[in-house]
Amino acid sequence: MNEERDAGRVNPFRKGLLTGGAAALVIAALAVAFHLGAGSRTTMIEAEPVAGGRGVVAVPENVEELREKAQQPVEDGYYETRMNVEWVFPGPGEPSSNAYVENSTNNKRTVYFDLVLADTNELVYSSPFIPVGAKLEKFQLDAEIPRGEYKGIVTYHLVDDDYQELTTVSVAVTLRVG
Amino acid sequence: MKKMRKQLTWIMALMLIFALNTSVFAAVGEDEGEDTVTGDGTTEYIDLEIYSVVLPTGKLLDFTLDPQGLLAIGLNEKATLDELKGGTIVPANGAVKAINNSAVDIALSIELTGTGEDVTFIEYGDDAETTIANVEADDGNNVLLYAAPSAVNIVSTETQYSAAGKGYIITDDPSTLQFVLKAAEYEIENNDGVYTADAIDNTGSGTAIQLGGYVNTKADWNDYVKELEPSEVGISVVFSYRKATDDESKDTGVTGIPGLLSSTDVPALTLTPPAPERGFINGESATNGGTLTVTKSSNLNYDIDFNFAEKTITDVRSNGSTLNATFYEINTTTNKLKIKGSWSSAGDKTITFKLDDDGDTTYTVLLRFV
Repeated sequence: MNEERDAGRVNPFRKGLLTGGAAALVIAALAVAFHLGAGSRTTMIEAEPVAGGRGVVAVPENVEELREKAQQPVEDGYYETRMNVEWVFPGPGEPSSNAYVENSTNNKRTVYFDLVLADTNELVYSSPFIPVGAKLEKFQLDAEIPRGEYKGIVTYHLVDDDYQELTTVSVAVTLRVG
Repeated sequence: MKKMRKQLTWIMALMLIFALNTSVFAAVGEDEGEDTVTGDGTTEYIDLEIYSVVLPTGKLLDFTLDPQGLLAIGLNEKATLDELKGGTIVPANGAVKAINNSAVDIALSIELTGTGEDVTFIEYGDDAETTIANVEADDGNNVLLYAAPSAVNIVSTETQYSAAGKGYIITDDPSTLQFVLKAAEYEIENNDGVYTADAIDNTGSGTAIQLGGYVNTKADWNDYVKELEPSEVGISVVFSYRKATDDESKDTGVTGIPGLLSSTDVPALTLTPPAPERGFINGESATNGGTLTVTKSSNLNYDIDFNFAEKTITDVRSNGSTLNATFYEINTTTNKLKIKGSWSSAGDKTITFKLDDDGDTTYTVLLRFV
């Protein structure tokens, strides 16, 4: 009877080994998943619309505000882009051999940019923050896109000191993959 | 052993599930490794494929629709119905500018698209008159939106815009205006063996566009001003640029619109500029007693137009002396005073003149040659 009970119990050492091994394997699995997830995606991410302006209808309740606003200087009205516009990626999933984006010293705001494919509006890359005077080169896309030539739209997001978005400006680029 | 294999199988299955289904996106600002942002900011050479172009952000692209003409009446003022000028669209912040500070000529395209699900963007009809009339053809939320390019080269965001007299129509299909913008002048500095190249201020070339248009006064626009989920109308703008081809750099362009390529294929309205306020107009303006800065040129006959609507200009003098008739011309049809001459070695000139109905009032502008 004791032998039957012993046969049903797991050896504590083996149990500990299994638990520890399982934990290690799960961590490794997450690490692999992070890498794979960062390099490819199974679902398309749609981006925010490109930069633009809003039409406001003048009514008695807002017309004075509109008139005053028209008299005030606009902060963050301009952004100096400094970049090349034909980005080459030697192969799907590989970093660009030439992409260059700089936040000109003539600017005042930190920026980040999103890159979407113009035809599908799929978001394929979102950059880190780029402070004034800094540059980003030869980055790898977040999404793996097949070989071919694509029209992309880079939308710069100007942010304030708390990294809150202020405004945007959009520039087209050409992507050559493979 | 059998139990251990079962457990291992579960673990391997979990690994497979994670690997296939987990998508992890690096949050903005947290990328590391390959996406390295470097803060040096210097270059050792001029890379002619790196373009520097100043562009307007979305903050400058807002516009106001004024179906009732409310913007024409200032606070505590009155206006007649005729003066209200209802049914217009005006920019919220004036013209927006795009300036090339690159070391090469660029071809700049500005792609403009009207947005708004419930809005009808009027397209060009048989002629300008019909097109404008179509705005009020029914009671729909009709909008005729256009972009009016600049009549002058814009070298900085401070350069004053002057309308060229054409409004290129914007609909919910993209309209693209194409410009060639000349290169800026560069200077290179050697700092301890590190070479930096920077554009010299105000040597670039640029353009500007100003939004305008017409809005249906018969439509119900209440849905666009309600607080909860208002209907929207707007414009999306995408800029693109590349090195200009030799042909583009030599393009003769569109008369009166610097840089606009002759191949631009967007229907346009001819705009009548509003009658100017009393002042001096030459793509820039100065008030009575002010200064106009004129770039010296090796070319002869730099023309400066002074435009006083509906007034007659008389007694034109330069530095106090009656100006020789050779050096000025008054067009009595447009009432423009044109000052002509060879300005290559000119010094400052004070131009004065009178307007016929102002009695002894003398208007003065200092022409400063730089």
